[in-house]
Amino acid sequence: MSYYLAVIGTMDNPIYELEFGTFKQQNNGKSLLNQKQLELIPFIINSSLDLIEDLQWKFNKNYFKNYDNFNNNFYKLSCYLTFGNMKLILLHQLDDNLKNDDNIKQFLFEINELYVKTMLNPFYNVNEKIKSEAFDLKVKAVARKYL
Amino acid sequence: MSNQLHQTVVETDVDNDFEKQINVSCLEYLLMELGPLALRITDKLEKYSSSSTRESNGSGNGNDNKQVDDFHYGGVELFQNESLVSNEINNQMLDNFGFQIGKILIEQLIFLKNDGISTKMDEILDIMKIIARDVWKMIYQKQIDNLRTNHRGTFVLIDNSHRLISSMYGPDKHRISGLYLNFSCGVIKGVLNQSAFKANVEADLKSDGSVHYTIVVI
Repeated sequence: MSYYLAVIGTMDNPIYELEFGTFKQQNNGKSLLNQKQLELIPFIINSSLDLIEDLQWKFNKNYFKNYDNFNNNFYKLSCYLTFGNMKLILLHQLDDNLKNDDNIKQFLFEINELYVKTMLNPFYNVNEKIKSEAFDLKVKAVARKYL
Repeated sequence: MSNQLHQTVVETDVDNDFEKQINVSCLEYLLMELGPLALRITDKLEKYSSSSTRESNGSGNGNDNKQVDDFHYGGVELFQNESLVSNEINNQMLDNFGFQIGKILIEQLIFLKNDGISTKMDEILDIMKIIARDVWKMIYQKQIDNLRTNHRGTFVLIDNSHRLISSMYGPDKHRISGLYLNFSCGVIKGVLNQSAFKANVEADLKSDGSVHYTIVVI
């Protein structure tokens, strides 16, 4: 079971990316995505931005679960929009045994909180790449907690 | 460490109030310092550009050091320089300071208001209400006194006593207050920009000391 998190800025520019695996069921958090998939994922995520832009004005909500898929529904995409139109996109597998729907939602909520805290830094500008190691560590901790 | 500090502060209301007052005063001083800061930077930029054109191939290094020494940090004598205060560059700079702050502030406020859940807001009137109530309260510790709209994209926010300007006296009040009004306009623009609206914002200091912000959404 593997996940891929991408934070996309308001100009459709990537701000943060992380690839990780599940920690549930005695897994060690290593992602099982192969090289070919890893090269493809940025394209998948960017092509799904069109769908988000359609959805965000149709519905009065900012969390869209399983709005896109690839590899014959094997991988799904979920998105959380922050107030300033940052897109937090998580690529995940949908597993009926694991029931990870709520966890994914909770995970994206917590990433939003981390992002808002990053913005408090006076040296960070909107749409800048997040290079902070502390942010990276915290995202990994949240991932370990929920996914 | 900070957690411990926080706990001791919460214990008594008196301590809490005291800390709050200190924070409020610090914020006010910092906001006031924005004006002279912008003036100093503009002054430095102008001196630098004029000196570099005069001696394009001279000893630039020694000149630089001398200019740094010319600064009087914390001084306000730059306010006397009329051409500097009305300079377009530093008005733009203060506007930009406000813009950056507004952009970040609105995201924080929405986050705090909804217990960690960012909601969506499509109505511009809702955003105006947030500006009038929460944004102003956060920066100036008071709310906007009056919010008027014609429901066709024009809003007028009336602030009867601007926190920084109401404490100013003297003949220069009108001239210097323009600096701080630019900052306030920038904050409004930043908040609207982050909420996907573009607007022209103008501030006007009336003779009775109230400030009228006219916002025209494009």
